[in-house]
Amino acid sequence: MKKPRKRYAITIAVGAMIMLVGIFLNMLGIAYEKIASSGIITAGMVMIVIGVIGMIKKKEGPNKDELTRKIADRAAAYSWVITLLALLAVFWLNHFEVLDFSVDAVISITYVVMIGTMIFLQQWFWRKGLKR
Amino acid sequence: MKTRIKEYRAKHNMTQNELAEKVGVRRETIVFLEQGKYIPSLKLAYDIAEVFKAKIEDLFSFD
Repeated sequence: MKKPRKRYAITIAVGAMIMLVGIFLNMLGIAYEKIASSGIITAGMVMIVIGVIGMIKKKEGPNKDELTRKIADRAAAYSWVITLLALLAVFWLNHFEVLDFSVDAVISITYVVMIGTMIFLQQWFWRKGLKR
Repeated sequence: MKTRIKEYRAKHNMTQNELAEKVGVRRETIVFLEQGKYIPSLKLAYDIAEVFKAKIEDLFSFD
C-alpha cells in the first residue's frame, strides 16, 4: 500500500504535469478552444492544491499543533470575510463608476487581500494569543 | 483562565520544550498556556495533566 505522503507527492507531480500540458497547448494554440487549455490548467492547479493540503495535514509532529491549526483556521475565516467586504466595496465603487476595475484588477485584489490578510492575521494571533 | 503549568513544570524540573515534546505541541503553545492566553482543548489539557500525574482541575481554573 502506498504511503499517504507519497500519494500526495504523486498528486502534486501529476497536477504540475497537467498544468504544463495546458500551458503548452495554450502557447502553441493546439487546444481546440482557449477555454479547453484554461480548464486543463485549472485542473492541474486544483490537483496541486489538493496535494499540498493533504501533505500539510499528514505532516507529523509539532506542525499538528492545535494552536497552530486554530490560528490558521481563524485567520482563514476572518480573511474570507475581509475579502468578501473588499469585493463588496469593489462592486459598489464600480457600480457607481467611482473607479473602473478590469477583471484582472479584481482577481489581483482578491488574491492580494485574501493572502495578505491571512498572513497578517496569523502574525497578529501569534502575538495576541487565542483567548476564546 | 489561570494555569499552574509553570509551577508543576518547575516541580518536575521540566523545560517548556520538554513538556511540548511530551504532549506533541509547539513550545509556543506551552508559552501561551502558561500566560493564560490560550484555552487548550480537552485532549491537550488531559495530556498535560497525565504528564504531571495530576488532575485537570488542579492545573486549570477559570475566574
